[in-house]
Amino acid sequence: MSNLGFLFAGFAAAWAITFGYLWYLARRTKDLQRRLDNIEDHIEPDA
Amino acid sequence: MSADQADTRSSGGIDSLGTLVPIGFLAALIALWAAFLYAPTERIEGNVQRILYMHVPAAMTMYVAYSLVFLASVMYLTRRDSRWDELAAASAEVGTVFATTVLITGPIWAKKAWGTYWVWDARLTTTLLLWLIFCAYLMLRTYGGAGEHVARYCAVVGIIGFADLPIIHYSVQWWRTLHPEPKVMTQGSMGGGMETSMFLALALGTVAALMLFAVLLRLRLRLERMERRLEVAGQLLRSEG
Repeated sequence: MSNLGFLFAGFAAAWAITFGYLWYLARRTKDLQRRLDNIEDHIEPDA
Repeated sequence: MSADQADTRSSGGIDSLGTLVPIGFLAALIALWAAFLYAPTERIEGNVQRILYMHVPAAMTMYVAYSLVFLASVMYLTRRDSRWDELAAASAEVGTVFATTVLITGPIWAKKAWGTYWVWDARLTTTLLLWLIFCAYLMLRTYGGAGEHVARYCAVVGIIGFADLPIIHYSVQWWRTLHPEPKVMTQGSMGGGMETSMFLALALGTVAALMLFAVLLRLRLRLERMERRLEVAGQLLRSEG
């Protein structure tokens, strides 16, 4: 691999890790928010 | 809807991060410009040396994140306030993202600079050890269940993990290693071993990485609070039904 190939691989890996983590956070937040809304709707009428 | 519920439901979007996201985005663009266009090409290594502007800021941010874990863990053990535990949990996870970046960009650069992806050099080995300690920390968080005892164990693991940071930092001075000695923070001066334009590009990269850390930490903290809220709501529902 050329010099530029390694440079591209380094930066691409770093950005892939960052965006991958952001995607994971967004997915988990969305899922938790849905479960939280669900569970709080069950509690709310009695509260 | 109660005030608590309103708070949780309104915290679903990225809008609560305010100006941090656009400023961070701008900082990342400036850092990329500095790394690729402003900093000169290194004479011996050539363009591959520009990985430095991603690798070193990630390493510095990893130091900051794990130092925050240490601080929050000590505070949790002394005050027993769950907010410190939340901060430690969030910072450990985000710190591990940066540690992973360090451990991947480093070997890519090393392949070109040293001719090999990995050597069991003191700096590389102690960094891998740190990553493994915090992987264990995150596994304990995930599979340890709920309860104060897990938070206490995690605080202890977080403090043990932090003890590896000075070993990583001084490993290049204490042992003969393939990894170069620090050029950014040399004794008595900042950037003493680097050309000014390279040092400035590195400084801009570090600012951008720290801003990214701040954004990720806030997002992860919000998630941690939602998880704990869900746990409490679930307990409440079980006790009612």
